[in-house]
Amino acid sequence: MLAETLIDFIRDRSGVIEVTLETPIFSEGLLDSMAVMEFATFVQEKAGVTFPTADLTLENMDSVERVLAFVEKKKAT
Amino acid sequence: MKTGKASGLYRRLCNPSGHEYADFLSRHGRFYSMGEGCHISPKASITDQAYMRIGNNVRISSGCSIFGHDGAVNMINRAYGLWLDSVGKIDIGDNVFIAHRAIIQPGVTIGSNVIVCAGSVVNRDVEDGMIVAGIPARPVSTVSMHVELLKSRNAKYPWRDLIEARQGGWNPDLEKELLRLRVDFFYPAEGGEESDSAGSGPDSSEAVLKRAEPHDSGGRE
Repeated sequence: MLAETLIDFIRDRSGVIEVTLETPIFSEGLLDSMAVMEFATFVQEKAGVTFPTADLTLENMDSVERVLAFVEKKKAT
Repeated sequence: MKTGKASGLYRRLCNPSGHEYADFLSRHGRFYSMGEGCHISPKASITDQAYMRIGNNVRISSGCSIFGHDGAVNMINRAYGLWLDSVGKIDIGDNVFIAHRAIIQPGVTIGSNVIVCAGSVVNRDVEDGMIVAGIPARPVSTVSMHVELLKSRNAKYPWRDLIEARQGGWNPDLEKELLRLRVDFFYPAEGGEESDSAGSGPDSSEAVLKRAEPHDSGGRE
């Protein structure tokens, strides 16, 4: 399941165990800006979608919940 | 005037700020072209300026090395009895920040709205809007995402209104309060306690302020 895979990734990189669907990933500093591309590449690989760097926004990426919604939107288009 | 000895003399005698040095290079340097509003540390090493095009609002930090030639070719020529050339242009777009001790190698084009992180070695082109880091430098994020994160972080700073009031400059009326708020924010518990003047324990923000007074930057970056 994509949500669990992403949460595991965030836990692994941040060392924070308490990660939920709603936890802010970047704005709360769980992952810093140096990890944005790595996270985006991981999302694309695991979700089977591709998106341009212009889509890398907090609106799309700042929580697992937001990423899932963004991926669904991408798959629908 | 051509730079070189004159540039070195200017740096030694005038101790210019980054903006002043960039202005000096813009007027007297040998760049192919250079835009407006640049900031170049006098402690950056920039050779082969004739092959370099620099856009507007380009900021080059101290310790950076930017060069348009490959010195190894001299060894190769001597070793192999050849007469080869190995040079390349450096093309830097608008709104680029090159952080401390980054190295830009010949033949590289850096797009606009780019951040090159400290210590990186850039040996291939950088696309518009990217943040690159590492050796060799690779994309790690986008500047637009970084701006969003900065906005989000700034919204939580208790000194947000002072930053707005100061508008990027250095304001002697605000600096002390700014420093105090930051110290209290970073060390909330320690800053509120009595400091031990004889020991090495935490100081209050007032004590930090006293020590900081002689070191104000006067807006110099």
